[in-house]
Amino acid sequence: MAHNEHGDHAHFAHPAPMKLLVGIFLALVSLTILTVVANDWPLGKLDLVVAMTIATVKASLVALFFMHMFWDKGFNIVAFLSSVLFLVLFISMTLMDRNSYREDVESFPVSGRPPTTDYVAPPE
Amino acid sequence: MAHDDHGKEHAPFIAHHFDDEQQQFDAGKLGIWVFLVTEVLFFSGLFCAYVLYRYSQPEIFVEASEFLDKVLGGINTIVLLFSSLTMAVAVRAAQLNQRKVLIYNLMITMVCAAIFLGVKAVEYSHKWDEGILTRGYYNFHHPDHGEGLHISKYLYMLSVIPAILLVVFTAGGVVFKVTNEAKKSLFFFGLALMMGGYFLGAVGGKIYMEAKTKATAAAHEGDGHDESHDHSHDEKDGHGDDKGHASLESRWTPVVYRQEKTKQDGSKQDGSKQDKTKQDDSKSADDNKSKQPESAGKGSGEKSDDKKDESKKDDTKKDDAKADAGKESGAPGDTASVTEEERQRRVGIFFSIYYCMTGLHAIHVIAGMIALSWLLWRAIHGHFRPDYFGPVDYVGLYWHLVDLIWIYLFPLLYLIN
Repeated sequence: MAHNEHGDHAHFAHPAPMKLLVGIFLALVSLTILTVVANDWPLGKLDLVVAMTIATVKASLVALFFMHMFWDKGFNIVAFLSSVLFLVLFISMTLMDRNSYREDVESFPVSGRPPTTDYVAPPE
Repeated sequence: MAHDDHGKEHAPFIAHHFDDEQQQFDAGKLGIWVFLVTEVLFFSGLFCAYVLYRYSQPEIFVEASEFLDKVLGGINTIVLLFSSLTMAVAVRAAQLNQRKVLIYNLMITMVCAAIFLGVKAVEYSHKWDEGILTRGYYNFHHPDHGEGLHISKYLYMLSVIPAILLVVFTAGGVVFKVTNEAKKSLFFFGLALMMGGYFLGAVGGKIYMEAKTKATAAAHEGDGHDESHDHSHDEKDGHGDDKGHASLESRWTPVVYRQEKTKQDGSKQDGSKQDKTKQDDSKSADDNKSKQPESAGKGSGEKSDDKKDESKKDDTKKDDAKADAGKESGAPGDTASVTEEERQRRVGIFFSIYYCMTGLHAIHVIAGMIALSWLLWRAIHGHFRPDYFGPVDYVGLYWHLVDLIWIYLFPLLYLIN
């Protein structure tokens, strides 16, 4: 981490170098363009994976450098990563739950609307 | 935000329960990080809803995503990224005691935030013109705008508050300039500049939409695959999916349109089925049948600011287009295949999710603008020093989180293939 010597700053402040900030911004813009371009690639199911990977890289850049996490005390990083952990838990658990009841949900006849799949629950 | 100045007797800007500046800074930093954690969890509920619905019905998401304009979304992304940069530079300037740089970068951040909201206003008003509302009020139709520039009445409605604020802030700036209070004047001019950013975004977005409309209209007149479409008047639509085969007049009349739709593709969309699917709408369907929407397609001016529109589920041209490609609803509606009604219903679900996510994000942007205004006031009045820059840092963290969320929203909503 670089301190800029042409300005006084407190010992606990870590002013980020200007070049780094601008560089990160340019990287973010490039990644955005990449995301938009990658949208047209015929990747099939990988589309979402690629988009989310690029988004996560962008998010990491923002978090590490714009949000100063690169130079931060460890506990803040733990706090943020824990939120990500709980986000992942939330979504994965709900998806698992949904998956286990999938056939029941989709075969449930709603009056006036047909079932949404061909699956018919087996007779009890 | 957690620091006030009443601890001046120890050292300026250190609250009395802290030992030194660093402890104060670190404490505040932890506080804002915990707040950011709660914000992430706040959004995770909506992300969860998104994931579940996309997992269940991916094809609906693909279809619905065609309504969202990638260019406008991309512009918004770049604008927010740039505002993140200027925010980071502002934090840096606060740490280095560069007051002017701090003030300028704060102002630029605020202007970028307002540009974002301006582009959003254009997007939203365009959708409301087309009747794309939340699930239950989803009623996509191509509004007839006629020739020339058309500015949606919703765009006017959205722009009322920014316009008032622009006038008030400019007046404030002028008044304080006259009374020679330079700092207050600068503050108000800064706020006025921020409001100007909203109009910059709205005008820019509108210019883009008009250009896109003209381009798609020109393309359509070129290849003429609209022979079945009744071109009794020019139609400017923003999506170019002009492949419907219902005439404009019949589309505006619910009962007639439904009958015509039945005649056209022989699907058994009888009134009874549609009546049943309307049961879960809060607005009664009776209003719709008696109403003759005017050609502007905005519901005869009965559209209140609550954006409650006809709750009828008209088949739309867009659905015709997609339906022709991969439609399973030609069959009588008692098989297991998806009917057009059902598909319509689910596209509305996508837009419920879309409006919730982007709306909540926009609310966060507005809150960020308010916080930045507070920072601007303090920066102009010289509250920040090399050993006290906490608030700038904390609002910066919040702002970066807002940008982070948009970084995820953009591919998830706009770039669905």
